[in-house]
Amino acid sequence: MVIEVLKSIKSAEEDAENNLKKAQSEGDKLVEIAKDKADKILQKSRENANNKARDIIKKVEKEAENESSNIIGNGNKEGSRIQDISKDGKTKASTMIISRITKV
Amino acid sequence: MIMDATSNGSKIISRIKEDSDLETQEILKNAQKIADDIIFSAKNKAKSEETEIIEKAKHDAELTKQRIIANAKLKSKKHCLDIKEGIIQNTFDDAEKKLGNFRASSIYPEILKDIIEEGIESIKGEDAEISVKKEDIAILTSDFLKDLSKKFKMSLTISKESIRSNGGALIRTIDGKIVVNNTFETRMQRMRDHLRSEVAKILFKG
Repeated sequence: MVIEVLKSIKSAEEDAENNLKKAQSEGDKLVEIAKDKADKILQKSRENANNKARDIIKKVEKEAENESSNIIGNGNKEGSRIQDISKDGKTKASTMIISRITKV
Repeated sequence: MIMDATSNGSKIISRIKEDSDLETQEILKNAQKIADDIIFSAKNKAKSEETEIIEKAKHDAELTKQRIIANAKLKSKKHCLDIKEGIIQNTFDDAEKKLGNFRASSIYPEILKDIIEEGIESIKGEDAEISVKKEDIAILTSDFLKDLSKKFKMSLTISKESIRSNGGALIRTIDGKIVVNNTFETRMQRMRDHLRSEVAKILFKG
């Protein structure tokens, strides 16, 4: 009868040992799953951030292009204005040049 | 006796099972905590990385914007400067054309004489010869040459070689060491930088 009891205790110890191993393995799995999930979170976040970054750059570039077009347009207008205002002075300027070249 | 052994054995087995259950729960609880921490850290890192990527994008975008706008300003400025430069050049070209006809004006002979006198003055008393266009030789009368020679105490002759020019004269010492080029073209070349700013003022004063 004592032997039977000892056998039962040994069996209970083995079961406990197995349960611990199983729990350890499950714990390891939990951690591995969490690592995978963390990688996916980071990957997804980077994708989102890069997409947002591209959109930001695209938007600002578009703004810059519009502003640039306005600047060029204003430059062209200014060029035309310069041509217009210079018309009146052209004869006076060339006469002044001749006068200075021929004046001692 | 047998009953005692059986009862104690059951107690030991129960205790082993209870301890095992507690330890199992502890292991799983710890593992879950580690897993939660990993996810928590990943979320924080993701947030921090996202902020960094977006801030960098904003910074890069701003630099690109500044570059595009600076290029546009430069292009616009260059366009205006090119137009001004073209108009100035055109004005000098017009003046040069008008100078071609200037010899026909009634004041040309006096101007030619003044130009020659100015050239001689800079030679400072060395004997010299004067070169002018073939058509201008008649303007340099012997009285004119005599007066100049007297004034500057030097011998003056008219060169047999005429010049190709819209007007003016070239004066050189007899030994050829000093040459004063007072043709209209060379005078314009010499005065161009100085005249340029005055021309610009007249043309673009508006």
